[in-house]
Amino acid sequence: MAKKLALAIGQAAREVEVRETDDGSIVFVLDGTEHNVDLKRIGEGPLYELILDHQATEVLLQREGQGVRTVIGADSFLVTKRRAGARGIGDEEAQEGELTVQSPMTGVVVEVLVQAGDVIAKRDSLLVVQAMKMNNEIRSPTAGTVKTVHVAVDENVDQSAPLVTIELGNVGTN
Amino acid sequence: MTDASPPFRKVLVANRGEIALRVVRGCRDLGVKSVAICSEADQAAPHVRYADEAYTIGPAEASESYLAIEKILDVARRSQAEAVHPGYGFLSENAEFARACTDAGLVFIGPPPEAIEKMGSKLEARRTLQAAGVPLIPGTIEPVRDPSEAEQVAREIGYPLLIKASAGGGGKGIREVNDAEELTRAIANAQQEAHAAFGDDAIYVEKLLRPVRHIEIQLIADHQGRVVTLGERECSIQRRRQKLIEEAPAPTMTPELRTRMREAARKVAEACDYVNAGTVECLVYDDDQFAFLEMNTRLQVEHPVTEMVWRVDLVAEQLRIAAGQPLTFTEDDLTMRGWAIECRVAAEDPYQGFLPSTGTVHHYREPAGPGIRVDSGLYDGMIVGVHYDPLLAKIIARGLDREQARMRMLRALSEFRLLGLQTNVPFHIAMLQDPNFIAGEIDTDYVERTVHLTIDDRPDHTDIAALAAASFLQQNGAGASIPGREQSGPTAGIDPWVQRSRGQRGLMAGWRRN
Repeated sequence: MAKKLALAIGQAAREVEVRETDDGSIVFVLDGTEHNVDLKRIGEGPLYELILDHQATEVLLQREGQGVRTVIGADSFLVTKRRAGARGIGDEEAQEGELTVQSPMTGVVVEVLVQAGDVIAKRDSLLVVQAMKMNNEIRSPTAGTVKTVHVAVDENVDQSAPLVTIELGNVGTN
Repeated sequence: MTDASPPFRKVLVANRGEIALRVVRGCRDLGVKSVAICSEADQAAPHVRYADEAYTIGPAEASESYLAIEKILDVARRSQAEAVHPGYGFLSENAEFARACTDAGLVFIGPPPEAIEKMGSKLEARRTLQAAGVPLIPGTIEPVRDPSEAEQVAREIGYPLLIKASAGGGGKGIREVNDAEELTRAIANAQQEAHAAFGDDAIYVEKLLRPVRHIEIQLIADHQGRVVTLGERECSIQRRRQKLIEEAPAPTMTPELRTRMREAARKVAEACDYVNAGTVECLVYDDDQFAFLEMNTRLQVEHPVTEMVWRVDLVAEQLRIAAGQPLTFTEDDLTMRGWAIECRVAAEDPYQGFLPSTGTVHHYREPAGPGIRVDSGLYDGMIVGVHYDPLLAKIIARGLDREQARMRMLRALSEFRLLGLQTNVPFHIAMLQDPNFIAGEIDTDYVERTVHLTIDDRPDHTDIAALAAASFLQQNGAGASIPGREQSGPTAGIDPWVQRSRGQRGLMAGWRRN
């Protein structure tokens, strides 16, 4: 007996097959590889011990809306089920559409390095935000074309404030 | 023998985070009651929970809480504290605060305000110490007022050089100048900056020595005029003049250089009539040359490495000295033993140029085991924001020798568990395995020159998240018709970075490097 779970993990997608083996135990299959997964709740809260392929670590798992908030180390993902039968694309990044880079912190914009129409590569510097007396370069997580710059020099920004919107897709047409 | 009676009945701790907890613990060790103050953001913090009394004094902004002198003195009155320990940062090097404590009938646990002022003015410190025969970094001992004066000095000492604010310190108010063209503009900018930041536009010029090691001498002095120096700490692993890793002793130290540096530190203490714990920071260059950098007139972040190898409790000594008791030991009574390393765990993202990180601490579990001490202000549910310094915790590893301390530190770093917030732990793991660090071949530019984790080094947790969430959905009735099964299985942990070094980058490789 097997069941397929099509999952959206933040921007990424994965398909996990939950398969019962002959001896009654369960294996999880991801990208054609079988994984041994033990998940043990610690206490009454959202903290779990995940023993994945015999290596243990703490994770936080909690229902959030239609999905599961999953915190591993510093990373926090909202994992949602996609429509059953949908094909997993498996890509880390969307290939089209747009993406808005948000400020990772509360601070002041001290430099803007791009303008609308600029074609940029992944990791190109977008702007500099000063917080706690430190200048922090904000880089692009993706390649694309700058659609909108939402802030100007000397502007105060809150954490998660939109900074730059990037149109994804074919680069080099400009 | 130490005096068995507590030096004070009750001490107010005018700080937050790990250092406030450190002082609360030091008080309890001596049978002294402690009073914590906190901002509204810190009410659940460990220093509040562990102190005998706690008072909320204002909103998160430091100016309304930890820097609000009148509010702090008011709590001291209400709680009937006899003394105030300022920790480091905030009001610890504020002579006005030290005087206000004394005026309010409280003992300030630190040096006399005159010593704070003398060492707080970098130019006055340079003048005082030149007269005392302490080696200085080549440069001026009077303020530089205009570019022509600076050009004259530059011709004598050569480029590159530093323009420093006399009122600066701790890496603040410093500007690097590489040639004569930059000089004129740099002087004007530095004066403006110094005026804006410190209310004092006095600047001076120093030669930029490079490469250098940052090595400092801990000292402690009592009201009876006795000064004891406690050897050195090596603090060259720093970034933008902020220390990241410290150790004692220094890997390249020779007994001869240590003796000369301790003698110089004693002269510094005597020249400013110093009392209580203090640190003389020096630059060491050309193997065995050193020059005075600045004196920190307070307890320092990295004081535990000295406590480990000299087996003294610096906070306890601070309290006893402040109560007027004489030091109970001389330099001859103490010997240094073993090795200690400290890593500063900060809310900074080493994969993105040490960008400050903010967030909620969902789960925190700190390392322990043989040779490990953790001084931390972290707690489950803590919201790490932008109001305070990013330092979260200090891990201190002690060993019989440097290699044992290093291996224990790596073990402790692998045990450091924090969910929900990026820290600089991956930087520490990388640095502690760096061949030059292992060989002790480091200088103050080493971090910026060599250790570069990038976003591509960041472990990708997507697959793990998929499997964890799939398992969660399966257990919690996500429609899967497969029955749950017995939770069991060996938990044999393969070290993630050992695994990584073998090149087996499985799903779990590096995933503890949060």
